[in-house]
Amino acid sequence: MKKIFVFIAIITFGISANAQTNSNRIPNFRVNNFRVNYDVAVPLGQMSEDFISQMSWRGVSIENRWGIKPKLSVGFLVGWQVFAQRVDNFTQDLNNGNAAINGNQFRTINTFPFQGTVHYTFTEDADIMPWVGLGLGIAHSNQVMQVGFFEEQRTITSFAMTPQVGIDLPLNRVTSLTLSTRYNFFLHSNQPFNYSFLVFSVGIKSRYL
Amino acid sequence: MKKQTKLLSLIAFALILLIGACYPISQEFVSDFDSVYTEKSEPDFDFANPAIRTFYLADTVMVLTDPNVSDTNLEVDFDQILARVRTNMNQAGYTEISNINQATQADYLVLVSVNRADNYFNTWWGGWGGWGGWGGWGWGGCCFFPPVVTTSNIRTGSIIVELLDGKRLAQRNQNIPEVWYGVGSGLFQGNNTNLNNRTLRAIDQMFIQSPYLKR
Repeated sequence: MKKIFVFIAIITFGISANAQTNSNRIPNFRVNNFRVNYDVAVPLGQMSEDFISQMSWRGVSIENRWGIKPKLSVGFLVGWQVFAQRVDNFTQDLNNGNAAINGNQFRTINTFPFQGTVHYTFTEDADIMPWVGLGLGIAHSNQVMQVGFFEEQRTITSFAMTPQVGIDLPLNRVTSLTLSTRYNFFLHSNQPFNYSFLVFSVGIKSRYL
Repeated sequence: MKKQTKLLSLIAFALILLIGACYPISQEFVSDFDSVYTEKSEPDFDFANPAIRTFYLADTVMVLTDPNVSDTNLEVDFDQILARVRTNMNQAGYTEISNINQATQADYLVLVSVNRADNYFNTWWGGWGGWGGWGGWGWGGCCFFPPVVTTSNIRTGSIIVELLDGKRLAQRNQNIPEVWYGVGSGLFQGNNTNLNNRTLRAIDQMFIQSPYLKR
């Protein structure tokens, strides 16, 4: 985990050092952009109460946004977030309380959102460019609980809704550092609980024509 | 600018490598595979019935291991196992009937059995060069790796405690209905003390997670 921070720190400093030496930022005429984000996530609600409350440090997403108006863009997001938690000496009721199983549980959720997105940027060019957006789509998830020699696996496809806000910090005419937060709500029927988690992401945005 | 694009793809690649773990946590210790399962095999049975007061504990631990398949050395102390089941039944509020001649009057008949299973399995690695087609392309001749077969043994052990309904004691040589059972299972690995402790813990846990057995 430390490695990732060091890595990001190096990249960030490297880019800002670069930006300082040749400050050639000009009004940003390119509105199409591609983004790569590193995501951390905090489980919320029932997901946190019933299954995994530990923060996830493993997540990545890629995005592309096409400008349809100077301040408005549509695009897509593909992501991957891994939640995992070990719960020692846990007794799980089964079969309406007629059975129970005790042991050390290993719980994992791998979730992959695929979303279409709409974003609105408040300014066309500034040192700090805030934006808001909404993602709608599906999420494919794999939820596994292991105890002893036993394993319960659920493959879940859910409706995924993700309001989001963020800021872009332009470093030069092409590249920006971007910080954002997304609230993920993954709704699925016939499952014990829906997923809701808050993603904090830091990423690199690259504009192109 | 080209540098930036390069950098971007490098970051993407590095992130995928760093994060490439679908299941970041897994079992670390032998005891992580231990689990205790309990079930009311007859859910309609009235466990709260105040008339249920006594039990008779069968004085032998049954060994279920198939001697043709597995080593039958259980390495655990059967006396300690029986003593622990007795302690737990007493703590749950039942009175023991120890006289075998009165065993038929007991409300619960308690049976304890153990099992050890040696699960042998083969892992097969196909080796290279098996496709044949590569030979003609200049790869053959020098580099044939033979397939490798490895035999492994995962040894598991389990302890089973059963409560039979003594009030429905059938005729001789007929089945007695079972109302509750608990199974503790885990890897059969470790020294005697370790195996003993884990077995006794499993017995305790069976009663802890079945509060409806308490008087």
